[in-house]
Amino acid sequence: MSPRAWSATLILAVIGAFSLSVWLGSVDLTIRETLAAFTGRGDASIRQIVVELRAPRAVLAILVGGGLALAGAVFQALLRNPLAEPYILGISGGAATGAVLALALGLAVSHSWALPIAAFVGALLAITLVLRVAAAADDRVDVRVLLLAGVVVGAFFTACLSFVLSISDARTVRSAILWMMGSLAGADWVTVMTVALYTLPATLVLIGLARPLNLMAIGEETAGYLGTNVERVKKVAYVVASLLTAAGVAATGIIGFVGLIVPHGVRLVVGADYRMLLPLSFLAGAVFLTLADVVARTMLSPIEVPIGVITALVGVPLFLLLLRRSMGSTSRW
Amino acid sequence: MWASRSRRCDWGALRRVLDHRGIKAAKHCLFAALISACGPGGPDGGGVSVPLDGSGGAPNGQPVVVTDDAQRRHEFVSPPGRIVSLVPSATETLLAFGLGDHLVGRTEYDRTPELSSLSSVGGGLQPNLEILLALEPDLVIRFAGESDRATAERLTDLGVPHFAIQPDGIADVQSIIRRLGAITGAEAAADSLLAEIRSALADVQERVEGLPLRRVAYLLGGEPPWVAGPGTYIHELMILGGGTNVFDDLGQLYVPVSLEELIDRKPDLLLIAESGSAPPKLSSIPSVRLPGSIEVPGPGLGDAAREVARLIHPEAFP
Repeated sequence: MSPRAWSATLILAVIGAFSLSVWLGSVDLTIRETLAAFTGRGDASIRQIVVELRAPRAVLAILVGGGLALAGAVFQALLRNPLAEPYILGISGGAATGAVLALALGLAVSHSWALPIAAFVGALLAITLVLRVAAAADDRVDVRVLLLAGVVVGAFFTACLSFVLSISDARTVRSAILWMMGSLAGADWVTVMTVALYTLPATLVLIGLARPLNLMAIGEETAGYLGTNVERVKKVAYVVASLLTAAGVAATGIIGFVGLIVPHGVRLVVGADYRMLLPLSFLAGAVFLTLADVVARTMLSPIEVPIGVITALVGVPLFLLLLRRSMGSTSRW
Repeated sequence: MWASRSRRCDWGALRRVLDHRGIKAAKHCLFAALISACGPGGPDGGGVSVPLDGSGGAPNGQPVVVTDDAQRRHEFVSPPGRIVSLVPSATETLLAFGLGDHLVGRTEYDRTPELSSLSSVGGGLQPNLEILLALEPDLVIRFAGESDRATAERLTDLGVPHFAIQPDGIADVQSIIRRLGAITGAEAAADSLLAEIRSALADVQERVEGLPLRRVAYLLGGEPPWVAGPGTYIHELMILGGGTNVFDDLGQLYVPVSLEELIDRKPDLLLIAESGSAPPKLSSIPSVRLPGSIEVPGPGLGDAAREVARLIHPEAFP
């Protein structure tokens, strides 16, 4: 398939995944009832289920799944490391520490927005810390230092997190564990709008970096000769991809594997041209997380399986299959 | 990334227990409930105002006004006919009132066969909102407190009436029974249940009166074990049953403590939760497992008090 055909297919897949997500759930609805709910007709409780519960959840899955996959693709390009994923630079540790502090101090009780804000601030703190360390020596960002600093900052925040948890009571620990497992259950339209406010501009900026990232894949020096402001590209890519991840984490907790598996999967299929890889990663991530959420909601209904479990259980075999199929053909890393 | 951070505690078991129990938020709730509900013959006011003829359910158009444990005021013009209770103890209370046919849903923690045909909304905390909405309840009874703030907010947004309760202590349980009776127009059933409970509690008190206090610890399970501090239902049952909680200085409801600390407190008896197990290293201390029914702070309060007292002072229950 040509890249153009892939784009069209994935856009249709996003629409399909959205439709499936508003149609399927713990409560069985017919397609007719689902459609009626959107036009404001039909049973009031069905309308609420579709419009207030399922639709915001589906849109949030599209935004967060797309954002995580795109951020993962950018981090893999930036750090030139196939193991890179959106959380690798300490963002998850920072966000989780913020969230757990908000829970432990009781802030999340009095103000429902305190937890996402605290998670976001924690993530920003980790991002700033990592960048300051990586750019400390001179003004150049050494990606190896970035990677190391990120992993170490992450470990530090994880220690803080464990400390806070160990002195917290059972109620806080329970909420914290649930949050860290990641869930889209809290999705409402306000959350969706807030996440969209970050995700959409960040997505455009990152996709705009595709050409310089292509050049940098050949080598930073070569890219420099060809007129790329390498240092600026690195910083912008790092900060924007981190912000994108932070917004997602703040809204849904930590959802693993999307940012690792999806970009690699896309790369195996369409190749390493970032002009295709970045937008297609966003679309594929959106489809993947939306479908994973459908499974998470319906598999053991009425109980919800943590979505991170589904992304790993479904994503990993799928990815291994792709990996095996692509072996023997060309090496695409 | 999180796999490496899993803790040694059995979260599944812990979650089940905590879900089961409802977790205490603020102490002032307890005080409010104590004042309003404590003791036999106490004023029947405190958060409930019911029509004087006592038949309930606003027969003469007078709405019943009840305050819930989130300090929200509710007016009931008529008793709700479609109730979903997210709190197992409230479910048991409604069943004890004979109102099983008013319940239209259940949680995974309600094991009563009577309810098995109803749709389950999942856990009592973070219930499945979709299923809950589809049941079209005119009242949802939920846990008050911080454990599940999101559900309360979503229910308000979705326009579903929800009544918050916090069955933490003996007084809370009685106050909740009284208020649920007022809401559902089952005052008579509530009164007789409360009378039964009061006489059971008085009987227990009489039997352990004057006996030497035994030092008791309650172990929820986990590694290291989680113990109950003051403010918990089981703590109050221990005190009532002629024991002292060796962890009555804890600032929190349930916390993990080291085995050293546990040994150092020199308990005479370990009460083990149904889902927990006695640490093998403490085999020198007598321990006994509590039946699960004791841990539901509901209409079984009288029986639970008697059972805990019997375990602490078998000599008082020949």
